[in-house]
Amino acid sequence: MSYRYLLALALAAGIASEASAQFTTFIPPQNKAADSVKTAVAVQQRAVADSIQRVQLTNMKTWVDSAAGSVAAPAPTRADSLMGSPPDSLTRSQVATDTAPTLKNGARAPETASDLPLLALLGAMGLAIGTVMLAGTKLGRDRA
Amino acid sequence: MRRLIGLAFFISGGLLLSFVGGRYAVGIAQADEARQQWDAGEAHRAVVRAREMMSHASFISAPAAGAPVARLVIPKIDLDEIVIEGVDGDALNAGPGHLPGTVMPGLRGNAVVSAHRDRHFNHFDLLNVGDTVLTDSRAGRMKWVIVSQRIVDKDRPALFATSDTTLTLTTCWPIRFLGSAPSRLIVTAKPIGRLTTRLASAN
Repeated sequence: MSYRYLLALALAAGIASEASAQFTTFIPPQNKAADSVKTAVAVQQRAVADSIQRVQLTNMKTWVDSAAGSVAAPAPTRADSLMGSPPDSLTRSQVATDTAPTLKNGARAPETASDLPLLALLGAMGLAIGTVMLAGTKLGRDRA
Repeated sequence: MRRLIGLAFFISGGLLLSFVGGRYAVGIAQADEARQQWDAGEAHRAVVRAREMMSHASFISAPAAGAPVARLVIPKIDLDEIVIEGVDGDALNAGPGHLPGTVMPGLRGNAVVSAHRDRHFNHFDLLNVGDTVLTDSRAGRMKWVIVSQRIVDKDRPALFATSDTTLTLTTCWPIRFLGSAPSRLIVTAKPIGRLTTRLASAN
């Protein structure tokens, strides 16, 4: 065995260990399933975004009447329900926690009556009457 | 004697005026505080909204009573108020109140906001069907159009659950009335779009 042969063997072994990545790394083909999921999600998100941009209000009269409580609310259409609806994947059970709507049909409007304007008027009248009476008393005393 | 009666009128009138003025002053101070909290929370709400959109697990926690929960803008009457959670005396003194148990403006369902006629909603008699309302809440920024106005007796049924997105604004009626108003003005609005930019001040 010549020294050249030994040198060639040593070089081959050394280079192979230094450049092992080139010989041993295996790059698998892209995961088709994962890609298709990503694509589907992207398409779905784009579809939702697009549909929000072109919202259509259907069955306008019933829709308005339902807001006034005069008729039963129509079942929301896909286009209608996109307005302000929670994400589709948000199930009813997820919403039904402490913020679940508890408004009952026929509830009274909140008590917004305020007596402050009346009290202000009464206060102003009392102040005015008191001032006039005190001034009258003083005037009478001065005359006397 | 006349002097004593005059003095009694003067003092009681002064006390009444002081009480009313104090209530209004406290309300203004609370409204300012609520606006500062609202403005300071702008970045936080953006993060929360983004996180909720990512996780799809939103709208879970109920806001605390007295907390600023939304901004209500009605350009026609120069109204720009921060909505407080709750409709009790203190909340309505500070600003329009969001009725607990109703959804936030922008979510599916009926969002009810009420206010006093002598303060925040004192120009509601100028509103008409077709006028625009803007809201900003954790449900997003929405543009609404008024679709109906009703006047009901204060003891009559006035609020209804809806399966679609609705905004109901209520106040006392008549607007110009001395004493406890006998009726309620119910203004109903429907969404016509989402806003992507911050609401401009109406003032």
